[in-house]
Amino acid sequence: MTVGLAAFEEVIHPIPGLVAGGDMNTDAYQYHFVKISADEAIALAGNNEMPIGVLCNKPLSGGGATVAGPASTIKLKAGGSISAGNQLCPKSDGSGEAVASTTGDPSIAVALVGGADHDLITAYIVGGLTLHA
Amino acid sequence: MTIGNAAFEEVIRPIPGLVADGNLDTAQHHFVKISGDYKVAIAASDEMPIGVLCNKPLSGCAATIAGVGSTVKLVLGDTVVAGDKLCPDSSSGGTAVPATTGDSTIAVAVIGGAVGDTIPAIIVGGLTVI
Repeated sequence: MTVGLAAFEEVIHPIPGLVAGGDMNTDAYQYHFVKISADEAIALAGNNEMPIGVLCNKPLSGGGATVAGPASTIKLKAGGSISAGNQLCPKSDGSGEAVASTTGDPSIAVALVGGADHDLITAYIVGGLTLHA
Repeated sequence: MTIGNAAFEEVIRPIPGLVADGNLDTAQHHFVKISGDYKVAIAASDEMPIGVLCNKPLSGCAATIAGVGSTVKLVLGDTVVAGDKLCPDSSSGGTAVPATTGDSTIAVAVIGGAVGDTIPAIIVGGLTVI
């Protein structure tokens, strides 16, 4: 995979100390949005759930989870058609796949490239958490 | 430019692999957005910036984009006071203006300034879906 002028290289700024809240050792978890599900544990992020980041490894239950946080440039599994520049949030089916956000969605990332359903795209984690009065 | 007791020095945490979507040699220190696959262009009002352009790339050339965690220079499109949350201006020029409710803001002003000034700002992240 290439990005612009250079070969694509993930830049992961990990969130330390997190573990898998269940077996997450398949492609159905790696490069998906995850949330905090319990004390220091993560699970796939679902509908209207704020992701904490993107899972980058394949941990077994209780194993160390490498979760990319803000400022990371990472691979992310698309859950539908995505265009470059789309703001991304978890798909409503609980798969942790990324879809284009609409108003009010918990979005933390921007697509750097477009893709189709189930493609691995490149995304940048900008952050999130906007509280309105 | 000074900040506190120290000379201002940019801290750039770049987003890798992006190129200019058109000549951006006059857009240094302006907000930019993702405009195509791995491409950046000037961010307009109500468009989510991905970061701030730090160099002067011609079309198709590598763009140095400061992302989250960066402290950068940013050109103002209106009067700003220290602590203001900043978003792209409404004239599609990519300059920074104070954000209001619902704006797409990713940066905070470290000092105040007037139209045309270049100020230091911290890119704190964000994503307000509008």
